[in-house]
Amino acid sequence: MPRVVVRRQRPSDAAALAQVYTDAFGPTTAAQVRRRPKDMPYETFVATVDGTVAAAVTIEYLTLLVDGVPVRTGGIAGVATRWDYRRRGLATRVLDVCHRRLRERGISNATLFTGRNLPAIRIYERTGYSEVADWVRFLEVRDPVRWIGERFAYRSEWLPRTPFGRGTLREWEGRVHVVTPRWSCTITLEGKRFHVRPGRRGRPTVIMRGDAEAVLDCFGNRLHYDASLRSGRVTLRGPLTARGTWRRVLTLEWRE
Amino acid sequence: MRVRSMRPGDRTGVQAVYAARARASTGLLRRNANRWARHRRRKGTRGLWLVAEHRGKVVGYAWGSRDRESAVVNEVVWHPEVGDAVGDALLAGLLRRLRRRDPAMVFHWAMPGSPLIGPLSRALQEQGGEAAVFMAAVVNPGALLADTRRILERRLSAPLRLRIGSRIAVAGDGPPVATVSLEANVLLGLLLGLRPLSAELRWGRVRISPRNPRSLRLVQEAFPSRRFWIQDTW
Repeated sequence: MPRVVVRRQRPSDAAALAQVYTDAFGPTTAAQVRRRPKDMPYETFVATVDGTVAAAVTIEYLTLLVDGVPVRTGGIAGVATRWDYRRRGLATRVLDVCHRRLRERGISNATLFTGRNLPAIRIYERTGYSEVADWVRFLEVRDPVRWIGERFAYRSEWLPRTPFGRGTLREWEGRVHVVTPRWSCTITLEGKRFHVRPGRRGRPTVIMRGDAEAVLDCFGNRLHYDASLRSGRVTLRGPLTARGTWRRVLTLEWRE
Repeated sequence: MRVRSMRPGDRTGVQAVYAARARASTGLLRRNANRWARHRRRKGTRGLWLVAEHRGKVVGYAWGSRDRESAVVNEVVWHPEVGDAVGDALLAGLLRRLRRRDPAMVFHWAMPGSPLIGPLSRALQEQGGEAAVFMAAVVNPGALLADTRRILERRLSAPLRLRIGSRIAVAGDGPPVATVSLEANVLLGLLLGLRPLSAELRWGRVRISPRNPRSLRLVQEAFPSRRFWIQDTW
């Protein structure tokens, strides 16, 4: 049985924590871990498995104002687990320790931000986060193809850092044609990077059609993607495997 | 009223506007000088801090940022005693500046309790997409009752007893007019404006004793329909 210990972060953990954060949030260096903003007091707790730092959670000690009355809150941030240590309940164990720490300090509540479609939301629901407020997004898309290009530049950066992404980069030769009444573009994977070009280029593997709003809403949102397909606002043509890969790439389902 | 670029001398006025808005809101974060400085120093914000000035006084501010192909409306706040027209003017001024470099997209994330929802829905399009959520959990019911008592003492016209399981607290001096029984997470939701009182009463998750119009009015005073709104993330 591996030995799991949850303890407060030590200065010597910086390099190991950088690895944990890199797996969860993107490239992070030990220097960045040491250089955290100092505008709020905080504590970081880590879970070690046989001495290896495998998961981390940070509490920021913040104050919410309710009618101007200060209410202290434990702002939960940086919930991260290394890829090879996921699905072992480590984040839940660190969160439990954080909640105990907040209780000891006489703080009534813990608060956090997450993505509606990220798997982590299930951990939060299980650990008592039942009070929820959704953000509403307001936007003006001035150049949708350029915007999609930016989203796929992000995916190009991220894919090589995940097991799913590495597999996709090796095997997928997809060419996706996204078609709306006002614009269309073709997304290809060439030389480990996605390229987004206006119009139809070559013979597509997958064709995604829909009104512009429904198509753009699918970016990074698995729930919306599935609902749009069910309702017929978005349609998809192409082999099943290619469609499955496209779904994960588009909705960021691989960023778990 | 005019909208102009922010000057170093406006900082106190900007912070006073935020403080006034926090007194009339639920959920804004208390900001210390370091946090304000971090916002001001944030990358891509140069030339994108604006203030609304009326008779020489700062009555609102806005700031945005640019990042690669996107432009972001980070924050637009105006004094609660001036009208939403100030918010419209600040947002319009900020959007004008953000659009100058032809971004592929301009966006803002807002919470339903934000006063900016009105001006935003007039200027930009509301859309689903990469849905983000704020979540809260009770970790210490006793401390929550103490927090609640401090807040309700400011809101209530008569004393009210709160009961979470076997824990009891009274907000206000003197014999309580009514008792409210509820679970800790429901109390947190009501306090932060994450749950509407009417629905909680309908579903029986908030029980009032004695059940009479005066008790109901008092509970409505305790938990007004003011929705949660937060600007900062962490």
